[in-house]
Amino acid sequence: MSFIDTDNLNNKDIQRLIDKAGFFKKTFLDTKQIPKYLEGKIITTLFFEPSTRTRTSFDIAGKILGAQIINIQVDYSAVKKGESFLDTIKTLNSMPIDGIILRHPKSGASYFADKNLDIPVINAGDGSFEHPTQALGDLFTLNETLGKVKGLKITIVGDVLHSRVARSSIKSYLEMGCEITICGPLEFLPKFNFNYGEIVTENLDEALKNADVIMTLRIQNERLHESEKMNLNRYISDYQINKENLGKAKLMHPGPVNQGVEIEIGLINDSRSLIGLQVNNGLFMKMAILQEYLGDQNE
Amino acid sequence: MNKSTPMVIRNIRLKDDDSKISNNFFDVFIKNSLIEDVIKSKIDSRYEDYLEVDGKGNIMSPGLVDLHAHFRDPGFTYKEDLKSGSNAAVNGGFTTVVLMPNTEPPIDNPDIFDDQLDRSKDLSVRLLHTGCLTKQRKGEVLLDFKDFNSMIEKGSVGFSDDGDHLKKSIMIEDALKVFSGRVPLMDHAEDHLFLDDGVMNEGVVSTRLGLIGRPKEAEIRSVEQNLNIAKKTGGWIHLQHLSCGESVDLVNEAKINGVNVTSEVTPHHISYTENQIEINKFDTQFKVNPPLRTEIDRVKCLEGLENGIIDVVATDHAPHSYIEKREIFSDAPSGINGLENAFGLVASKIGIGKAIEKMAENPGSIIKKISGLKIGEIRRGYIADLTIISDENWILDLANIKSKSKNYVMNDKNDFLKGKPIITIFEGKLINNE
Repeated sequence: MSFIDTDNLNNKDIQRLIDKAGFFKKTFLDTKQIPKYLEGKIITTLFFEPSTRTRTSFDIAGKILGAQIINIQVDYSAVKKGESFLDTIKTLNSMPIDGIILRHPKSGASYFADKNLDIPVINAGDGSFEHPTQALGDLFTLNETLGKVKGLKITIVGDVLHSRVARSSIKSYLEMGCEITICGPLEFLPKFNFNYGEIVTENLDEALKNADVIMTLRIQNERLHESEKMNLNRYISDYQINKENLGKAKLMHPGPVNQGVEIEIGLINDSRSLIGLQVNNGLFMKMAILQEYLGDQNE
Repeated sequence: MNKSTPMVIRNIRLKDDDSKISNNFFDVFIKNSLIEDVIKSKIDSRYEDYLEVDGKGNIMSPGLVDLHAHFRDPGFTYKEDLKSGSNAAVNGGFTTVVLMPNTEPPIDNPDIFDDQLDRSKDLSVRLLHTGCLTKQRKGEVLLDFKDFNSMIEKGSVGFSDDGDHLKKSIMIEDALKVFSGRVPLMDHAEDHLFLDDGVMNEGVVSTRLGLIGRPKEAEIRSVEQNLNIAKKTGGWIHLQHLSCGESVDLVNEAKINGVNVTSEVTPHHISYTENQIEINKFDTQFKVNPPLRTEIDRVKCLEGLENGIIDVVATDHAPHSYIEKREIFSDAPSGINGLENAFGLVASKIGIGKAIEKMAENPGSIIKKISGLKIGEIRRGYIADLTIISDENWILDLANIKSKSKNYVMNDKNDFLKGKPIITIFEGKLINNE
């Protein structure tokens, strides 16, 4: 079964994955022994964009669960010889592979792969559409740190327009009963609202008021059109999260962080920062997702 | 025109002036490729010199006329060619199809126009041609005026840079002056200034899906521009494939003010919305320019069609190969095939009688005005272009498609097409579609 977006997950599904990630974390830390749920499985990661944490994390998650992981470097694959995306994934599909973990720069690439393959696709981020494993990993971190998710006031600050993490987060956090505010300069807010029930403001003070959690997003220069490239200094002065304006809230960031842009240099190591924990917990959420979607009980 | 055996189509029903289908049966006589007479059916009468065809109580429409189709020939004949496109047209009940000139090479001079005319003979439908407005269809330099005139004399029924809006007002004005009301300037009203690589309507859905939008302003501004120039010059503008509610309001206002404007809407813009792209998870069959808009726009376009603000339905039949459409959404080409399910789709929205008005009578009357061809009516002395329609619910079957390309939006039993063209008669020659 493929795992493409957060649309098809209800709060019970999400809670089950959070609980499963918690179980894996506890078991792993206590015993270093996790049952090999994916023993005999061959899984490929196919990344058409650079990645450190997501790819490595999937690699480790799969290996802990007993799968063999093949990392395909697009830079060294036949894609460089002009092979189309469709032909590339079809080629993989003609080998005995049990699942593809896909990252792609274009929105909808995961659904496209899913429609054209008969093996499960795990979306590790496609264009500005979704990055569901990140959103669920962050929910796990919040649940673990604050003891609950329901009722939390969460503010997402930054380049919401281009962010796939924002889209996955808004949908799944709202499903879990959070209140979501998105904030940023006009250039980074969608011209049309998502209409999922989010609150939208350009005013950072307003957005930070009473927030339990601030999630900052990276300025995605690679997805900006020339007309959107804004004055970074203005962004820093108006929207950077620093020691003061963070207040009592917890700080999150899906990474990679541009220190000194979205957040003040050094804030990443502040006691209110969950950024390191997000990376660590992301591993266990990926294990939960791999086990749930690629494990034998679903076949 | 052929001199084959005279024919009488017996026991057919016709649309009356209120766009209702009458319960009376008629017999339509065809001789020398023309409609010889239309009389009330008389039981027991025999017409010995005529080949008799029993219409079985089905509905007869004037042959359907499409003012906007792409047959991709020359240049992209793996998608469609003049023959396959014509066969698709017949299959959909069309007898006259106006082709857009965005071929490769584009139809931008009298010589290549002549080639198109030569290659359009002996096909199963009447193909009418248009020329580009600008050289190489690049939007930079208008065709030479003598070439415009030459192509009009040869039978061009309009000029269009379809696919792109003609941007410069002075060029629109100059072209209208040359055309001087003989043929329309047909404009794809979407100003590229606003488009920014957009791949679907700009709105809630494009935001949710993380896709770049094509804003409504692109259409609205260029519709305004066209209407202002038409008003100023008295020239004839034909607005292609309107998609925004605001455009319908603008055209309405212009018509009230006597502006010389006609307009079209596609079957897909009155049938589907941007929501299909979200519901169907980035399905490229719904990728089209101008893009499918919101439900409000769809309803406004539908109402505009029904109440006469929009004159005709045109398919914008835009074939693309399976492999081209089988792409990630932002990489797939835009376009929906239309000829073979258009009538059923439109009739399911506005009824068979009204669909006949919008897909046969009105576009036929526009062609008659331009070229003098007597089509678009079932009347003595008119060309015997006729379409017999069965009043049935049906589903488009991929196996029966004649187009080289299959990029139709398929329907299912929850979404029946209504009114199926079963027999097409072109210049008195009968082709059974079943």
